[in-house]
This record gives sequence, structure tokens and C-alpha cells, in this order.
Amino acid sequence: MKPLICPIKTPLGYYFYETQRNEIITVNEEIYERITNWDSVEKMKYSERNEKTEYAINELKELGYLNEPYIEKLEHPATRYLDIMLERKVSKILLQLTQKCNLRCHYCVYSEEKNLGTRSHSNKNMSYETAKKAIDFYMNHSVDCEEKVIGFYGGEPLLQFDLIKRIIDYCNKTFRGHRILYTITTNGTLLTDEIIDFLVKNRVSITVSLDGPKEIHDKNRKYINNEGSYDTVMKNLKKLKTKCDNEKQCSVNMVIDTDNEYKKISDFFNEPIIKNIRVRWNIVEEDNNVKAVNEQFISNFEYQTFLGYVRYLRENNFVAPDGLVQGEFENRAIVDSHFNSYFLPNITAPGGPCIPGKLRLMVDCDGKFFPCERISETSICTNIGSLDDGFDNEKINSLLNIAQLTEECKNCWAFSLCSVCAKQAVNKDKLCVESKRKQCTVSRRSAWNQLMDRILLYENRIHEKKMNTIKEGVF
Amino acid sequence: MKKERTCIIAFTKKEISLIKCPPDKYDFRFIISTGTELEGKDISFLKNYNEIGIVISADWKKDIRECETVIIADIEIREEEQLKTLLYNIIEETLLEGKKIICFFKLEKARQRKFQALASENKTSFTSIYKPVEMQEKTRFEKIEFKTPIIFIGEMTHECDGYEIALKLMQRLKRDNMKGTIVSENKYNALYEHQYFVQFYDKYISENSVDKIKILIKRIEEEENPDVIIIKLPKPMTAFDNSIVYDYGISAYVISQTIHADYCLYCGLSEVLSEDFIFNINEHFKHKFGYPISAFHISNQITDIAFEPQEQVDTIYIPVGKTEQEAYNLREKQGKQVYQLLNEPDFELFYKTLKNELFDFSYGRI
Repeated sequence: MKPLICPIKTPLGYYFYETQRNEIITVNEEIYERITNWDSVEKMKYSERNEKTEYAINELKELGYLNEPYIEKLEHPATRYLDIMLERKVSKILLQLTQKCNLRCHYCVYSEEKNLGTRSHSNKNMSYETAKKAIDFYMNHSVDCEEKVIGFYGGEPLLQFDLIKRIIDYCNKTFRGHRILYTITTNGTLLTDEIIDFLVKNRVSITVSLDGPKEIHDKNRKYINNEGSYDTVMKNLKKLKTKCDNEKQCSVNMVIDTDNEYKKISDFFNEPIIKNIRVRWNIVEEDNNVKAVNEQFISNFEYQTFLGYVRYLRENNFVAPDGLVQGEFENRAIVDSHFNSYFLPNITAPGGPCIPGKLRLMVDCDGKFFPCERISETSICTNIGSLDDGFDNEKINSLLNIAQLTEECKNCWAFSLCSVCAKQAVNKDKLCVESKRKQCTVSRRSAWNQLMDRILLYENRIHEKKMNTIKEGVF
Repeated sequence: MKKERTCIIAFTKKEISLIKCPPDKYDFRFIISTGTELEGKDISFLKNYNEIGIVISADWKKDIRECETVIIADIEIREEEQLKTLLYNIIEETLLEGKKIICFFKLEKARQRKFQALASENKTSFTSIYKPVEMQEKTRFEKIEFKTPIIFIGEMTHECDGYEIALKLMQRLKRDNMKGTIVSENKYNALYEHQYFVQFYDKYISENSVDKIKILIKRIEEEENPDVIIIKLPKPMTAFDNSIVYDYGISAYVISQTIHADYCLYCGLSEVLSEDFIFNINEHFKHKFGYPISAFHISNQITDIAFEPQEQVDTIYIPVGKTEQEAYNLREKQGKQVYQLLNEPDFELFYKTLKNELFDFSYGRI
């Protein structure tokens, strides 16, 4: 049977990615040809094959490579202890304090026009009783967490500032003795001096949404009366930055519409207000997926990433050419956390899904539970319990094990690098095989990019060392 | 001996071993957490044990009035000024009530002096304990040998019940009229007789470390004349994996080169201690440390697979009964010396084997 690998050829070398060990192996051209034509060579008599290549293939097999697919059952490793994890280690709770928002951003997933299968803006607020009950629930389900993390989310959570004050006061008493981390995601329009002082004093980690320069930000992020919010956000962000002792306390979240010019957005990272602030960004979503991206934008992004690598490799300069690239670049070139090598067990699941409810339990205004803030709040299958009834372990189990929808995952070369999560498999009230499969292409492309980046770094390091030939071996 | 009614403040799971195996002098009646999170809960909740009937309170004002001694726990406060202020208030009020304080929480010198003055004004005592037993440079040149059997207790991660087992073992030896002395880096040793809070290394491990440790343990042997010395090894015995390396087991290794272990207990996590693992780690230990592992303890913790790599292993406590079964299977079916030592029948079995190995000889060299 054909091994579960992905052969890769670049202008400088030949490789294969060993899925079940999450390793990239460099090989010579003969071995590459042999593994690419696996089935036809296997049919040949042994005497007809290249002896040296066969010897190397056997050696690789003895070293534990070129494994046939051996995964017998798709089951997430957390399944066995799921109940205990949810009972003792819910890492973060995210409170949806309100469904109200004072902005009407064009791309907002909650906007009435978009109707992306999730809720719409409403006047619903979370009551103090519900919030307290949620904190008590978190308290009873996080005994094994040294650090307690409480997030405020909306709508616009600062519309419920008085509630935030009461919750923080309650949490400070409840969790005294632990490290408590509060987080808030805000549109930044309501940050008064009083609010900033309170948030700073309580070491709340504040994420402000800011999409770029005025013309880009105001195109999408508008008040109900259609006025842009840029001027107010910038004024408040300046104030916030001045008052924060620790610059890590505030960060910016950018939602990028790739229809905009790349340079305008990347230049914005040079603005003094953004300096020394962590900026995260993501691309506008449509129909539960990332919006069809503008190819020009992506090509610019990839070119800048390449320049970043060149600079990193030639000059040992860790600063990426622009802010947009920086995060991605650091992740790949410096942290490089994707390629921890291991032997997959025979019962396991692809890399995508988190443990719903454990990582960032979202409680909505009514006390209903969802796996995170990014998932549909109207679907029955994503509602994983409530404050009244506790966790619905059966539903959590099915979200955790979405891989079981598509048995073919067992034979997919991108198994270990897979990024498909339950969110993408939700179709109305069901987990849908077709919706999940639609994401497989995106996920495999992302896995491929990760492999190529890794190889790019490897090849350049090799040339830095002035090595003329690439030797077989693991890197 | 009359026991002092004692209260522990800023209780966390670190103090559970202290309560389960209390020092002779103290009767832990009041267990107080600084937050309300644990109020009304049995202390066993923190480690998913079976209930032991000791309930946590958050009403420190009431409890300090009813006790004789207050122990301020060894807690590390990074940013929380409010918690520091609360602890200072508790100390002050306790001293004003004329109650004795033993403080394991690190205080600045000036504040210590202030509390000591306040204590003497109120005819009570304030003891601040965070200094280890002093180590000496090499001054003796004869060959140092140990006549007392030495037990090492080593761990797979930063916390696998090693200290609790050391205390339990010492108490069990006592029931057999034997004297066990514990040497470890746990500050709470200072509360017990025949126990030593040491810091095996200064800032760095150096070539002097071996001599210093040897001299220290010899001194303890001569002073205490114990039947057994139990050394709870500092830091995990090996790196956990490629990302969580601790100190790669260097601390444990240096002690292993200093003193010969007559018995070694290895405490590991549930799900990790498999038959293969036991075989491999035993081989590894024989080569690296120079002795095999005599017995294994399975702690009722599993690794949290959802955690992001950090400095130490993140775990989840599973019901202790599950690990009892795991240990039973490995012991009875595979013939390995594997136990769940927080479980009494397992502990007795282990104790019997250990005693046989260390004390019941048919012959011996003199």
C-alpha cells in the first residue's frame, strides 16, 4: 500500500512530508521519483528496480518512515477524558454582555443584511444575575486552572460598563490568590477617561478594532447614522496608550478587506499610534468562510513574506518588511511550532478542532453555551449547554470529533497540519459533510504553504553554509 | 504533646500534603483561602481525591480568633497588590489578637522587623521562614560514606505527589518506631521535626555542589542518626519532552553522583507510565543515574493536551480511583512495582517491599 506522504519538489531539492510523523525528509532525485511513482514501481519485479534506491527505501522504512496509513479510528485524544476536562479545566470564559452595538460595520457577521446564519444585532443584554451565575459556573469548572481568564464580548461590551465593573469586583473576590486575566474586545468608540482608568487599574487586556487608515476604516466601521468612527477611535486609542503602563495591555485587531490596496494597509503599521502595540488581523468573512480574497493582495503579502525571509536569512534581521507580514513571519521563521515531530497513535484525529467548551467557553446573554465567539449562535448543534443545564457532553463530543464525518481523513496527507474546525462544518442545525469537505481544499493549501515555508528556510540555510549538495536526512 | 490549634491562610493545593500528614505540633483546624472560590469545599476537591472531611473557609476574621497559631502559606504573588495588602492586614490583626504567626510568604526585611516589633508588643511571636539550612564548604577531607539507607523520591514533572509521599513514608516509619529524616527543597519541612529545608544548589550548579551536598547530608546523618534518609530530589528527573525541559534532570543527576541511592521511587503522571515507558526509563536511569528505579507511583494527573507549551507541564486531576486501577493492572498483570501511593492498601504493599529491600537481609558485609 502507498505510504501516507506528500512528495515535494522545489528548484533546489526533493523532499517528502511524512504525515504520521509530521516530519519533512530531504531525499535525492531517484528516491523522489520512486515515491512519486510508488504504485507502478511496486508492480515491477525487484530485479527491475534500481538497487541503490530500493536499498535507501528499505532503510527509510527501517527508520520508521514511508509508513502506510495506519490510523484505525478517528477519535480526538481528548474524548476519553472529555467529561473531566470540562469539569475541572475550562480555561477561559467569554461573556456576551450585550447583543447591542453602536456601530453598524458593513462586514459584521451580525448585520441584518448579511444574515450569515448567525444571530443579528438585538437589544438583548446580559443581566448581573446571569453574569454571576456564569462566573460561578466557571469557578466550579476551572479548579485545575492556575490562571483565571474572563473575557468581555458583545455586541459592544462597553455599552454594559456598569456590569463589567460589578463582574470584575465579584471575580476579584472570588479568585483572589490566582492570577486573573481580563480581556475585552471593543470598537473603541466608548473609551472615556473613567472607563480607561478602570480597565487599566484592573489590568484588563484591551483589544481595539481598527481597520487601517481613515478612508479604509470608515468605509466599513460606521455608526448607525452612517458616520465613520475612525476619528473617535484614534482619539481614544491615543488616550488609552498614554494611560497604559504596560503597552502589552492594549492591542489592535484589524479586519482586512482584501479589496483595499495592500500598501495602504501595510503603511498604516508605520503610524506612531500603532508602534509597540500588538496588531492581530484577519480577513473579512463571508458565508461562514473567508471572503474570496483579492489575488493581488495575497500576491503582495506573499512577496513581502518572501522578502522577510530573505532579510532574516541574509542579514539575521528579525524585523519583517511590514507589519502585516510580521506575525506570520515570526510564527513560521522563528517559532516554527507546526513541525513538532511525533508518531501519531492509531486512534487519533486531524489537527483542526479545539476542545469545545474547554478553551474559550462563550456564554451568551441568555446563559447559553457556545464553543467560542466565532461560531453560529443560532444553530442547535453549536449550542453546547447552558447555565441551567450544564454542558451537553454529547454535542461537545460530536463537535470535537467532526473528523468522524469524513472517514477519508485517515488517508489525507495533511492530517497533522489540518485546520478544519467544527465551525466550518455547521450548516443550519446540522454538522454537514459537504460543508466540511469544502474546507478541506483551503486547509490542504494552508498545510502546503507551511511545508513550502519550512523548506524555503531549510534550503537557504543550507546555502548560507555553502553546501553544494543536499544530503539525505531529517531536518 | 499538646497540639496548637492552627489556621493556614492562603490555602492552595500545595498545602494539602501538610494537612494530610500534619506535623506533631499542629492541629490544622482552619483552612482558609483568600478568594471565595473554594469556600465550603472539601480540600480533596483540589486534587480530585475522595473527600477527607476538611472544609475550606474564607472567613479569616472569625477563624484567627479561634486558633492559637496562624501559618501564612508559601505563596508567590506576582502582580496582585490587593492580595499582598490583605495578607499584611491578616498578619497585623493576628498579632494584635496575640496569636503566633509562622510566615512562609516572603516579606521585605523592613516589614519583617515591623511585624516582629508588633509581635513582641503583643507578647507573641512572628517567625518568618524562608531561609534554607546553610551549606558548608568542604572542610573535611576523609572519604564521606553513609551508613544510613537512602531513599530518593524523584518526579516526572514539577508536582507528582513526591513531597506528600515523603511525608507519608516518614509517618509510616514512625509507626514502626523508625526514624526517617526528609531532606528537600520544600519550605514546609521547617514545621516538622527531623526534616530539613535545603537549597541543594546556590544559583548555579558548580563543581563544589557535589561536595557541599555530600557534607550537608553527612551532617544531617550525624546530627539526627536516622534509620532512613529520604531525599526528595529537586526538579524533575528528566526533561518532559522537547519543549518542556525543566533543567534536563541536571539537579537530580548531580545528587545521584553525590550519594548512592539504596532505593528510588519515581512518581509519574497517569497515562504516561505504560509497560514500555517503565522498561525504557529504567534502562535510562541505570545508565544516566547509576541505579534502577525500585518502584513507581502513578499520580492522578493527566497532561492537558490543550495547553500551549510553557515552562512546566499543565495537568488535570482525574479521580484517584482511575489511577488505582491503572497501577493495579501494571502491578498484578505485568509484575511491575507500580502503585498509587495515596491509596492506603497500595501504600502498605509498597512499604512492605521497601522495608524488605532496605532492612531485611539474610546476610551482609560488615
